[in-house]
Amino acid sequence: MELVEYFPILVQILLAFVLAVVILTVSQIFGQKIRRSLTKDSAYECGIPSEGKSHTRFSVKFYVTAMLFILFDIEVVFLYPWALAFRDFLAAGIPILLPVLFFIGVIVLGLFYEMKKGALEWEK
Amino acid sequence: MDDLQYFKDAAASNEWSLIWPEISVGLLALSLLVVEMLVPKMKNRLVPMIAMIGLSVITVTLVLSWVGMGVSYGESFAGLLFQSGFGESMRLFFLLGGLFICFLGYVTLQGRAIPRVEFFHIVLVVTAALMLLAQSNHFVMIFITLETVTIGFYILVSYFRNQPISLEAGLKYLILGGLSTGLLLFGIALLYGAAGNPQLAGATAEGLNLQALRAFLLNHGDHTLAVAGMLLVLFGIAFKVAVFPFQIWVPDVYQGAPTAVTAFLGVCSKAAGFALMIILVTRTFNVETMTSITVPLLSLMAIFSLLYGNLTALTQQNTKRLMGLSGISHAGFLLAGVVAAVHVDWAVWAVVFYLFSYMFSSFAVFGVMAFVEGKNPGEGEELIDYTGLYQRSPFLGTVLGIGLGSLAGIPPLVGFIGKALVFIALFQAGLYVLLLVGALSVAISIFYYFGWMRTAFFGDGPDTEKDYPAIEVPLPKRVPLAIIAGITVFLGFIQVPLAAVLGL
Amino acid sequence: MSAETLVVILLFALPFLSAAVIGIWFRLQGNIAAAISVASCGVVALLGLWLVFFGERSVAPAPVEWLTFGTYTVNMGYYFNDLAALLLFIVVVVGLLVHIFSLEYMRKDEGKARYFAGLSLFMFSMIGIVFADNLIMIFIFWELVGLSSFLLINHYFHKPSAVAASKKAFIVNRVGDFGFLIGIIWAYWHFGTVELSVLADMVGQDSDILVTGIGLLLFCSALGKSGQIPLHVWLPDAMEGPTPVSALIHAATMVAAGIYLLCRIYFLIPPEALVVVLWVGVITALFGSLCAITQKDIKKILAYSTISQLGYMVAAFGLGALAVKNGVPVMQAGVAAAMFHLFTHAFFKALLFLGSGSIIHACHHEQNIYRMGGLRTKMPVTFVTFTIAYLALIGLPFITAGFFSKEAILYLAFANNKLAFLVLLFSALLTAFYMTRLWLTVFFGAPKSEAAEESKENGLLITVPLGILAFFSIIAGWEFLHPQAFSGILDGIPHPSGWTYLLMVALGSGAMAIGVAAAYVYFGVGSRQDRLEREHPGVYAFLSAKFFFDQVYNWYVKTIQERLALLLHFIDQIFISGLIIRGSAGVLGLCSTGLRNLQTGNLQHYLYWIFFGVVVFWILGRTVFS
Repeated sequence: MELVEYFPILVQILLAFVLAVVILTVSQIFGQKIRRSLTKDSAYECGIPSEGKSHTRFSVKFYVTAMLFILFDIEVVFLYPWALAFRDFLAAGIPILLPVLFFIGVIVLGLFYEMKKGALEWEK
Repeated sequence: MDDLQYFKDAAASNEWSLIWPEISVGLLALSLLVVEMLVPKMKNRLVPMIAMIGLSVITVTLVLSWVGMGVSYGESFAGLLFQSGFGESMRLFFLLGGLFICFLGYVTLQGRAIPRVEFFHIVLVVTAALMLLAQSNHFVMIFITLETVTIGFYILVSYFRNQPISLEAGLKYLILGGLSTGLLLFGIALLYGAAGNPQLAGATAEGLNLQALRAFLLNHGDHTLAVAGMLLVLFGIAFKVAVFPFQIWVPDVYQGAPTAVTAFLGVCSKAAGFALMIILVTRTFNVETMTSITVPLLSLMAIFSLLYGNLTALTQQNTKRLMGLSGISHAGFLLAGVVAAVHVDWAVWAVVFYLFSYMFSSFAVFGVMAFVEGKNPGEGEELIDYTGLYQRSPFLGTVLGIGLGSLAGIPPLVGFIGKALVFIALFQAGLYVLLLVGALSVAISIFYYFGWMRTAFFGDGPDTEKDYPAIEVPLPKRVPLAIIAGITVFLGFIQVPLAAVLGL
Repeated sequence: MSAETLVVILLFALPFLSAAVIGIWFRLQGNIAAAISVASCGVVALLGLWLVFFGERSVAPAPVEWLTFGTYTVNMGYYFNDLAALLLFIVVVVGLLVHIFSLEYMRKDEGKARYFAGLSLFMFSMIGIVFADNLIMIFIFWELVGLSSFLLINHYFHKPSAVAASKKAFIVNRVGDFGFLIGIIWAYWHFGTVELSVLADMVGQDSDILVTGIGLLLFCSALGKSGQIPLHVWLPDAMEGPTPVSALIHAATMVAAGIYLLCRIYFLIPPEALVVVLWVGVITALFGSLCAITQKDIKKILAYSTISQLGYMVAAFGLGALAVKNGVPVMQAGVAAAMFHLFTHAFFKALLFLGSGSIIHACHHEQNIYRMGGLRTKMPVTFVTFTIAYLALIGLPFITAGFFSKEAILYLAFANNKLAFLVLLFSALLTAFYMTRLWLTVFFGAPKSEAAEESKENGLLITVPLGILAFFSIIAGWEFLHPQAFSGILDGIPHPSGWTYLLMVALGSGAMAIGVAAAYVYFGVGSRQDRLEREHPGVYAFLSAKFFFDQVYNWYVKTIQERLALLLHFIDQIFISGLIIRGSAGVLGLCSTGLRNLQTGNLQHYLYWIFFGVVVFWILGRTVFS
């Protein structure tokens, strides 16, 4: 494939740029001019001035739990296709049980480890 | 049932016995967790011991297995892995590296309120991944092992989580590493896409397999997408080995990381990158249409790395940054060796020898650094902290002298032989400009290596008023350092053992 | 390995080990050092004598590869013939005697260990010269004897004059060695080898390949080491060293090494070069004896006498011409005469020096002959032995060794070159003149200083070596006693016959008798003052200025060399050191600081940098290189 064949994409990209520029320019030229003031430029927060930081910090426990969830979730996702192929593979004589048992074993070991570490206890 | 037949063939090619060292290292890593669960009170002493003894046993067994059975050769695991002498020697390299990192970790972590089982666990997992990486023959394998390594390093770099500088280093490494991974992955995708294009003759669905990819590239090495993919893949790896212009993260990350991790990053991560470089540049992208690009491009990168690393190291006062910057110049040397290996077959072994020599000499230096540094962040890392080291501890002074001398390439030490081999390879490959720049950068590097040595031996640092305490090194901790320094000297005189291992 | 090879290895190893052991462990224990050094020298002497008398003569058996420069390999081997045996004999015998003598002479010296280490190092280097089988090895040991000579002259390093003398010796020798080195390089370039035996074969097959320039450059080595004009200036100053050192190094062995080297490589010196060699030797012989007349320091007199006698040997070598018989170059009469004189001279000159050492030791380091006097009765053994050596030097007919060897040289000159003969004969007369002055002044009359008054005979450690040397000073010249071991050399000594013989004896003895008589009449017995200085100050001043060699050299060094050096220093400072060394360091430092500014520590900047790198190298990869 030659570079020439990507020409439509280039046209597309240029078109996007041009369109954006044109729209902005046109609205600037033909749009209504506003009078700017400090009050008008300030952030609007439902009438009440904002308090505290905009980014609140969550306890690290949430992250740990979320991570563990994803980890074990993926394990299940991994086991699902395995279960579907299990019968066919077994029939064809392909070793499929032991490798997965090893995999589950490792995961179980990890589970015990994190229980021991207290990752699953919310209050410690 | 073609699909099933495919899987059947793949399963039949699984030879688990071939990767017993990796499996053993992985199981060793798991067993550390078990040990911590079962005997939590003894973990601080037991875990490093188990890790080190286990690795030593695996290393010895590996070497003995070569003697007994020879080195296996060929594809396995449906083309995911490719066993060769090169892979075997890199296996040994990473095992030795992991072993010494465990020792360094043991020294660094001592007396700190930081969990330590995880350190050894991650080091072992990373070591296993590194060993697989060196034998991989498939982009999937490359990517997975490389990511296992990289994610392990993200954790290790910010291992001192109560020190902001360590966290900052970890964050920088994470973001920049993510960028490089993105480059690598995009490159792989482009290559795969190009190879799988049904409009092209010789298109293959196995575009991730390096052999199949090479077969495709033989006909379409000048294909736009393929070249783009190759460039991006090389850039992604160039980040891991820290050659110009992808070296920018090195000083900050090296400085922030715990010393043991710095050593791991500087030696093993770099070696992993070069193992990939060798696999890709000299075995996969070595078709004429591509070498016409890779040789000048990588030469240019090597030249810039040599100059940049040495020049910036000249005025550097922080030893960790200094090692990082000088590591860039060593990466330049290694890259030069890789470039030479495109034309000269045996240059691959020159690169591997250089890697080994670099490992031994920089471990000697890092080992000393682990003893000199203090417990607080940044304490004992400056050059002036080495004032009169030889008087404070003749042992550490000697080891440091040997390590630095070898890094600088002073004749009787192994670093000299490594450099000499690379120079010979460059000469044979006809890369005279690289040869010249290499020689020049050796001259420049002597400035700062000897500056460090002078501080350590003659103590005329800028601040001699301050009183520096003597450093006591207990005997058991001396042994590994002494062995490393001994190897550095020994291999400088007699290269036969290592050459025999490498099959030179 | 044959027994000979083993012995040779031991001969090398023992002195070296001795020097090393003393240097490393016993720098401060003088007595232990002395014991080690003397013991090693004793064993070396025994082994050496065995090798001389029973060892098989061999040419470089089983050389060991030592260094490789490109296609050229330096071998380590040895080349042992009768010539080497002769010098080895001198080295071990005189060496051992000097070691023993030193035990007493240096008994109270603070630097005793340093001294003995130096002696051992010298023995090692000298044995190296004796055995070396190629020019490169000779050169290496040549430099090593130079080094050990430097160290030993410099023994009293707190004396500025000793330091200056050692420096002078070293530098002047370097001048000669520079020529030597160029000669070696040229020889290698021309002949393709520097192995002595191979060279001998090549010259034997075709003597036309010789080059005069090579011969002259190789002769430069002897010029420096053997104190020939114009490089003789270091030898009198070298007397600042301890007297046994003067005896061993600056009379018997090292200075003779120049003659030995000439004889060793005689086949490389073509006839044209021999003419130069002859006249350098003749002039040196005359010059040395002239200078000796006005000296007052006993050791300086002997030093100039040594220069003069070395001149005799060089002249003798110059008189012999290269001859080829049956395709092999043969030792000529010149070589034989030179080596014969070297052999006898080694003993009587060492004896003279050791005798003077004995006197100096007894007189509390007084060296001025006009402050001695009357030592005949106070030091009888020294007197007797010194007298024997004195008679040998002036050549008392039919008894002393010196007579025979000098006669051989004179005859050779008579037969080949009458002018040279006359000059040599005249210097023989002068020799008798100045030696008689010395002898009469030192031993007769009344003591002229307290030191001389209080002097008494030294112990056995000093007198026994004197006795042994006196013995050799007589019998070394008796040809019927010459052992088979040296027949390869000494059989070639030329002998006049018939009338010529009578003429030679008459002229030789006549010159000697005139010299002795003139000295007796002119200076008298036990004089207190130098009559020449008093009555003929002009002549005295002229002679004692030693023909202005030192002045000319000083002028040269001060006005020409120093200015050139200053200029070079200036250039060095400005260009080399300033611009290139410091300049490059400065430039590198600037680059370093500049590049360091890239490391901002800001993550965004790093990301931009990497993107920038990707783009630049991408473009390079896609456009420039593909």
